[in-house]
Amino acid sequence: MKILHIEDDMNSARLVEMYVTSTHHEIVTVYNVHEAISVMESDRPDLILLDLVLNGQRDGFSLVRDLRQQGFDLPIIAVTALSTRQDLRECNDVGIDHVLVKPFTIKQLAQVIQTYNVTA
Amino acid sequence: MTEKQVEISINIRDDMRDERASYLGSIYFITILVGVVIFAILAQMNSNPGRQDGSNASIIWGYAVFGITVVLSFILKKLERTDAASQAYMTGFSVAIGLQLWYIGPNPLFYFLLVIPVGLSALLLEPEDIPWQTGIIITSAVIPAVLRISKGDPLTAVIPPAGLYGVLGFISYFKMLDLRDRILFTIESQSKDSLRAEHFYDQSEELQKALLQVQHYSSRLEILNKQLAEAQQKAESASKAKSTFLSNMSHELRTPLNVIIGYSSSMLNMPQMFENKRINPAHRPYLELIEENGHYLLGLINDTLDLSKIEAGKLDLHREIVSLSDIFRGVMATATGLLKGKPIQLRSNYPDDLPEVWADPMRVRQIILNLMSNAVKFTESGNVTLSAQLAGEFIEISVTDTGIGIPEKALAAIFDRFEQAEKDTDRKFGGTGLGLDISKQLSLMHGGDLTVSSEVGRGSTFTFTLPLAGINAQADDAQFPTSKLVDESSLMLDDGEPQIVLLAEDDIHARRLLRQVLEDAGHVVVDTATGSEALELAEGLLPAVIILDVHLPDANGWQLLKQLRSSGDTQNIPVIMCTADNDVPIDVQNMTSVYYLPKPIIPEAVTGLVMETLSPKAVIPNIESSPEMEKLL
Repeated sequence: MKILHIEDDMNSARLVEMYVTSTHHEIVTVYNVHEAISVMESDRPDLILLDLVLNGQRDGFSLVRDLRQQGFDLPIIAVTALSTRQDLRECNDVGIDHVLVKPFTIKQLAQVIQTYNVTA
Repeated sequence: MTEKQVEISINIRDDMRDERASYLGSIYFITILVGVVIFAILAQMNSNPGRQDGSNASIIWGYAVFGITVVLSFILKKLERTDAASQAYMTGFSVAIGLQLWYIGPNPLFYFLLVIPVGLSALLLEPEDIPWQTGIIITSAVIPAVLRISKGDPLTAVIPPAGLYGVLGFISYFKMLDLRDRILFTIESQSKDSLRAEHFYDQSEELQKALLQVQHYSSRLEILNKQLAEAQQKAESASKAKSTFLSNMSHELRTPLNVIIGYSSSMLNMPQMFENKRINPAHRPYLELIEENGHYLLGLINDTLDLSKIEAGKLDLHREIVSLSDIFRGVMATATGLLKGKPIQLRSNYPDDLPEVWADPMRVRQIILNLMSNAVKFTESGNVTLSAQLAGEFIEISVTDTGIGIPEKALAAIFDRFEQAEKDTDRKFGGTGLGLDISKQLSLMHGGDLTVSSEVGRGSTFTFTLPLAGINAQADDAQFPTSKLVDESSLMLDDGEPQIVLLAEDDIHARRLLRQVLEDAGHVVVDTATGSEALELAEGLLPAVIILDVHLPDANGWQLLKQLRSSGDTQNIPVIMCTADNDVPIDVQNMTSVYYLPKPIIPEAVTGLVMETLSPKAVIPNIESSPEMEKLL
């Protein structure tokens, strides 16, 4: 399974990368929305792991909204430190499938990836 | 009488006195003037030599007395003794006239002239002066007559004019007294009227002023309204800023914690991420400390944010119709996970027919879980009991433990921030000390309360009340869709393995719905339409939870349940009985790990119940879910 991982915090990104690599899935990590869009075009992923706040901007939400409008129907999982009801409601509204609230453990990440593994 | 009326009546009396004084003054001067004129006429007649049959001395004395009288009465008048002035004048005038008459001889004309000042003087007098004045009239009539008679005048010539003078004097005197009363009455009523008019004028002036004031106030009110609107706008934007701040704080604190908890837990549990190199056993305890404290910090952050939200008024309750027994079951399951081998028996004691309440289920759960985890934390052995009962308009939910108890002096402060019964307890028992404060606030927000009773060495009872009345309230605050996003089941499962849920339901629509909901929540669903197949699957799969419809085509759900419980492999699997009716057989009522899902099926209820049956050990709750659990782990 190809996972596109969008995360601006290098340390968090590295953690997810280490885990996904150890499970023999493929992962591409990008640090902003522009990179994410170009990767989406060149290399169609099976699953998106997405931080919603990128470099201080809530770009993640608009990215998901755009993707869903363009007909992208594969799982999008938010990996975010946003946690208020308001934020979670917005996640639901834009079409995010699942929210993994930071801080999370690797076990939780594992479970989510397993649940949404469309290639399995 | 009001102060104002007193003031007005005093004013009227003052004004009347003034009017009256000026009236008396004018009459006085008229009387003097008339007296002087009459005296001048008499003196002129006396200068007629043919009529001189008296003594010259009496003429001189007459002038003298009259002059002295006028001067004296003027002085008295100046001293504002008008009454005395008029009496002195009248007396002197009468004596002077008498002396003149004695000289002139009896002349009816003089007596008539005398009557005029006598009558006028009546206008000056008070009623109590009547005897005095009567005496003067009699004297001024009698003395000259006596003098004339002693001079040898015949009685017939003297008495008729003197008598006539007396009678006319009295008539004119009393007439004038009457006139005086009328004049004074008129003066009084006029002055009263004018005072009233003045008073009305004052009042209309005051009204005018009041009107101006009203105009002033209304314009001021307009300004204030404008300011209020501005302030409101400011407050709203401030409140929005506060929300944003809280959200951002939460975000910023969680991001580094993710690194701390994420790496430490990975290093401890996921060697495959580190080229399968196990960590040095000497380092392990310290890595565990890092992870533990990461979780502690997360709990602290969650609590602090909760409190900030409560204080900023930003914590909204998302009320819905809540079945307390559902929540109790979930909490009991969670609390079991908190025991960590302590010899504590968890008990629950509440009637099956507890009414539903209008509450925020997550917050109610948070409160009860906080009380339960505290009870477990402070109890070394014995029982922790969750009980509920109806008490008037409230449901009382109590958590009773057999723990260390709370000293009386600490009871009052137990709900205070960062308070634990003993200052050193936090080292031994952990926890932020914010939990009870939050629980108390949340109880109050629900219209209930949280109270405590305790005995050192015996244990404590915390009682949380929820009002029943709220159930009738309209569900006007929008319900947050409890979709797969926020259902806690997937977040709270301890291990990475998806849980198998066995679903036995013959109705295809219900089956499809349940399957969908459970799969969305991250479960693996195996379904069947028959009871026999359900039994086989249960034996073979050993699912994490079984959902049984009570009415299956080939079997009675209750019978199936008993069969499951009689087999060694399946007896401990929690079972959710899906039923539209409430008649649970008695032998089933005593079984543990049996849950009830009422029909019609509500997706949220399914995921919630499944989550609760799975005895989750919270690993990372999201901030909104169960911060209380976090610090215990």
